[in-house]
Amino acid sequence: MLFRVEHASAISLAEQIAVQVRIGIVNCELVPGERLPPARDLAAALGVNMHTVLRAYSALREDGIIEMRQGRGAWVRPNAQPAFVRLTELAEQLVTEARKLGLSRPEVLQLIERT
Amino acid sequence: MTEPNPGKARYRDVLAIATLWIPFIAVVVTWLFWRDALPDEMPKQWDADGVSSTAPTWIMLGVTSLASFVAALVATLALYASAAPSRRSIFLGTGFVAGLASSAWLVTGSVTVVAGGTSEPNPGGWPLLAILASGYGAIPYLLSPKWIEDSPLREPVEIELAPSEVGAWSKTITVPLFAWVGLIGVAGSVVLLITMIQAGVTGGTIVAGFVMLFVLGFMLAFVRLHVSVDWRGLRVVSSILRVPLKSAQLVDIESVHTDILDPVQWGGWGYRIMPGRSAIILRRGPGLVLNLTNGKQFAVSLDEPETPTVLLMSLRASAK
Repeated sequence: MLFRVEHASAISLAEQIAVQVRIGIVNCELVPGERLPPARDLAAALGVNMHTVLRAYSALREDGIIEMRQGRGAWVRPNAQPAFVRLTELAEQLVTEARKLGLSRPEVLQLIERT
Repeated sequence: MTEPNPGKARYRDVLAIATLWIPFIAVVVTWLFWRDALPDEMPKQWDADGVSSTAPTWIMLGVTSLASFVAALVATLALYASAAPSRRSIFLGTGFVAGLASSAWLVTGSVTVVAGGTSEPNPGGWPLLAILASGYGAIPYLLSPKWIEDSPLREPVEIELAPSEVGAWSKTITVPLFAWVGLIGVAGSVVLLITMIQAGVTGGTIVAGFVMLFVLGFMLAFVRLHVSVDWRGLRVVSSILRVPLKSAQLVDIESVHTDILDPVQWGGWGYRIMPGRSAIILRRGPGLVLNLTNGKQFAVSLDEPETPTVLLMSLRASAK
């Protein structure tokens, strides 16, 4: 898949890489089980620090989108369907908007339960 | 950019058509041989007690020859480029009709002739052949090449990178040929070595066996390849050993384009090395072709080669 990062952007490089992977899954460019480029390779290709790529991969793992193993690299989780990834994006947007309004976590959860 | 007419029938399609004319020819030829020996009535159906119904021989001949003729004709019409997407299915269906019709004639006619021209012969197990012949369409189906979309450039891809933006493309591909040859070869080498050691063979033969085992095992390391395009150019690296199989720097690339890669044109499947050309061919289908400044060419099969091609063009232009 195509990765592109804007070095002059206000959005962190790690966030940009993570977003690209999410978009890749939503667009079916990346399919469940597909391997992501090794962090070292992607870092060299994009001219960024390897820890930046690892930070992006870690964020994706925390979201349940990819899996990572020492020495085996990273790959898209079998259950990371485009709809699931889209849902995590929407959840992130919801949390961001709720924070802006000053809502607490229990209040956001209460909001979801009510709908 | 691609073949002038990808739907155009190729020699394998013509071969498939030829197999579909065989049933009709067989009916006509056998009739010419048997016509004096055949009675006016031929068996049409059998039950447990023998022949249960008959039909005039000319009707039997007419129906079976007409069915196999029409089937062959329909299959021949499928050579038109517009029929290319459904050509294989047509071959399967017409093969079913031609196989069933001709075998009905051949079985009924042959048992009648063998029984001495009686209209009530005992068929034995031969009708089973007619059932088997209904799968005749599998032969032209397998002979005919699989339909591939007519152009690898499905959607025009545009990649414009801002001055402070960096683009990189990567894809992991699997070479099934290496996997099969490697696995079967390693298993065969191990069995051979064990047999030789048990038989007390020593010296150079054993060494040769281990060398073969090592070479085939090494091939397994190239089953999964990582293809990447970035500011360094194009690189194909073994995902397992991290050994580069091919790399071309941006400055060494003269031009790049997508094409339908045909194993026939590139010397087969797998990693191909020919004078002035090398390629990684997985199947007949889309791929990326590099023309290098030293006059050499490199190609690699990719499902969607448009993005890496356009990215390479863009990176090459900005590197100059």
